[in-house]
Amino acid sequence: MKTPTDGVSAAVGAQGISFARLPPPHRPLARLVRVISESVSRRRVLLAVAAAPLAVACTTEPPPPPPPDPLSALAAQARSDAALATLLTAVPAAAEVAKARAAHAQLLQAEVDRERPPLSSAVPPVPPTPPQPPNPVAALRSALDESVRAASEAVAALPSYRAGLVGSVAAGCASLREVLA
Amino acid sequence: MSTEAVQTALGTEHAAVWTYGLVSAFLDNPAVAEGANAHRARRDTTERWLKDHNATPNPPAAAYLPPSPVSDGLSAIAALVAVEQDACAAWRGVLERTDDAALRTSALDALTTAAVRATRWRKAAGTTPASITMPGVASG
Repeated sequence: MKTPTDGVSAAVGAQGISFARLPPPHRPLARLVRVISESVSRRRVLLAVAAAPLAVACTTEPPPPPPPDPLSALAAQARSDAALATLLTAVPAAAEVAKARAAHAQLLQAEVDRERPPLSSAVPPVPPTPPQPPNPVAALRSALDESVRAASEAVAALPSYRAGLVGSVAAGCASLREVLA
Repeated sequence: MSTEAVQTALGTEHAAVWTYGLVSAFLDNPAVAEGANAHRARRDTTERWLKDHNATPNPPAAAYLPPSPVSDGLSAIAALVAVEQDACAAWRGVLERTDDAALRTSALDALTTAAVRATRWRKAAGTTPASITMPGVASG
């Protein structure tokens, strides 16, 4: 029984045999290259290279959704202040507060929608009518104080083109607070 | 560019200081002195800010023209409301033109306090609505 190695050494030892049929004895890398080039066609290599980015694109995670717009929280706060003020039909200044806060909500929501157009034309949810608090005027005052604070805090981190809008909303809330004082 | 906006705001502060001086002859109200002091302090800090940023603060004008002649208490209040609203517009202009955190804080404070004083004067004059929905906006 002859092993394949025996066969090779016998072939090398034998004179007059065709050189092309001999495996190159001292160049294992060249042998490897030849093996690969025989088993993988050029077309398959090109296809694999072309498909690689596609595979990456299909398997990577989609980017996380952007953080919520800080202005939409301010708009929601404005809507809820307006809803609270609407309840206070007995207080003459409350109608003014309701109107002004509704205007703030509209301006803020318009800016939110401008930057990220809503997917559907659904109107923002109307906040549920809050229960009548025991002291509604005091509740409205503290809600306005909170709105001044939230809007003022937001101004610091906003791009300058939005800082003016939110600054005016903060000042408008302070002005409303003065009316109720 | 924020320097120009601050110069404009300084101009409204000069006008406010002058107008509060003018109306003191017609209004016997402690809020006049309060407003005058607030605008003087704001004018001084604004001048300092400009000097710190290698700008020469614009000097005050010799006199300012109120939108309507001041001859009694009501017209004096109208002049005060006008200068406070001018200050609101100028400081909102600063807010829109700066990313400097300290200047923004100061501009927001100036805008808010001017809006509150304007509301107080409108309330004193019986204007309805007394509040200003969007202080610093021409239509507000």
